[in-house]
Amino acid sequence: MSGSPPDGFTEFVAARSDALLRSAWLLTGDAGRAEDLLQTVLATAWGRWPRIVAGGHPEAYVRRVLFTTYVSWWRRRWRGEVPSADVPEPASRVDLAGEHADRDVVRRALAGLSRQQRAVVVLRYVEDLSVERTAEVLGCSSATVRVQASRALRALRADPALNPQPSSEEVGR
Amino acid sequence: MNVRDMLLDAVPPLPSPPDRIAAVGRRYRRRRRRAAVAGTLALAILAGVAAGLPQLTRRESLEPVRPVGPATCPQTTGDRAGRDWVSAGDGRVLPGNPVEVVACDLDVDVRSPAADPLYPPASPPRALSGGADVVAALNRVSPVIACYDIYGLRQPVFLLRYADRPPVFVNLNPDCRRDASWDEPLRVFLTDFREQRLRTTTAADVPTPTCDPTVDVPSLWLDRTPPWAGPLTLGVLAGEPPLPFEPAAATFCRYAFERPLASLRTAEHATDAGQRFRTAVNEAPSNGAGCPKRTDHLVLDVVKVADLAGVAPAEFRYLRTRSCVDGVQASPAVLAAVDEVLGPIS
Repeated sequence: MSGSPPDGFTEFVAARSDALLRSAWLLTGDAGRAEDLLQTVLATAWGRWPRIVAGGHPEAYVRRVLFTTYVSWWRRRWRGEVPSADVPEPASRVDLAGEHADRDVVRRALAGLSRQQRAVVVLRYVEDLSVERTAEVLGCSSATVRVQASRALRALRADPALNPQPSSEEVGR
Repeated sequence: MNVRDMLLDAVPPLPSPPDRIAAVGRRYRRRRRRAAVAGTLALAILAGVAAGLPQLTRRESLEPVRPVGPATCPQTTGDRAGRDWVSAGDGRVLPGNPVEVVACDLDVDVRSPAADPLYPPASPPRALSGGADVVAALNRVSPVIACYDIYGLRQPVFLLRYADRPPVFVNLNPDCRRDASWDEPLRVFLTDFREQRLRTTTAADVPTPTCDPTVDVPSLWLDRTPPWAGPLTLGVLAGEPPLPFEPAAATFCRYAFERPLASLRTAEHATDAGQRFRTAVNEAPSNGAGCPKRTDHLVLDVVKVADLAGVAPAEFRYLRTRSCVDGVQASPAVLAAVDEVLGPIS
């Protein structure tokens, strides 16, 4: 089992890696660390894959590990592995200056949030999870999720370079 | 642009390794080898140092940072007790590295609270570890325009405790003319304090509210607390619904309506029903004002709800009659949530 991937694991990685990597980048703000985070999580899932599949929701499980691993990073100095040797240069390095600047503004604004606030923002607004599901993934209470989401949005709104609008369902929560 | 679009647009094209599965496999195998080595080493270390471990950990444990001076709240504005008093807005910059901030509810009224049943309940001292955000908010308070000694019943006083200097009392006089910056220290304190409670409290730590055996009808406030009780007592911020957090415990009490004392008839503890009550009361906050022209009230219903973040159980009171055509009643959903536990009034 340790030599080749367990049944279905390769297909799962092929199908879901892009979405998970996107979330990992929003959490870390760095392509290398995002890949590192994703590989760390997938390596965890590799050893438990049969049980994860038997649980019936492999993507939910892996996503949960992704976010909890990310949030736990703050508790220790990051000693993760550096995957840059395996990451090729992007196919195209044509990146318009303005587009890059816009991304950088968001990346820097996210970097100003705490790890838990970033995790809440990505789960709530990118993964589109409910407050209760977000709380379940992060292992905290719904009230904590509401407080952290509110604080994160307030911080993003206070950023002069950004003016994010919550979706209509978020207003008044 | 909404938050989702903004975030998704910010993600750059992300390169993938040529063979992610192979990379993950290498990590997995490396992790297994490390786990095996670590397990062997751990057994050896445990066997070797078990006898000396207690002394070792005792020597190396870090002493917690201890604040200087007592944490006692002042009893009156004249109670200086050798501590430094500062009035917010006087321009003094407070050191921004407190070990603890304690919010005190200071009596400034000439009446004796104990002798006056209408006096708002005092908030017990509430201690927040750290509290640098609170000090920053205190340092941002605008200068006072003028102060009057008119309305004061209670006023918040912050006790700032430091590791390297004596404690400081900061007085936020509510009778001063001021701007919105004066509301910020209390708002920041309560936000951080509630968050601290959510981190450190479990449902098992929350006492189940109890029903008082009798209720004094002449001094009865049908609102959840007397109207001048401040956020430090209520634990709820301006603009929030009455019950911002999920209940950890809820108690429903029904009293036979009698003057001057209403006596307890039924008491039920029901956390799940408390959740349904919370939904109803948050959708239609109501003080259960009852029917002002009616005197044939049948029962008084009191609902007490405690949550993980709450500083004290919130209390809601409803004076009930069979029908009410000339007064403001609580919403039917609220009363239905009460009756679900206590049964229909009869």
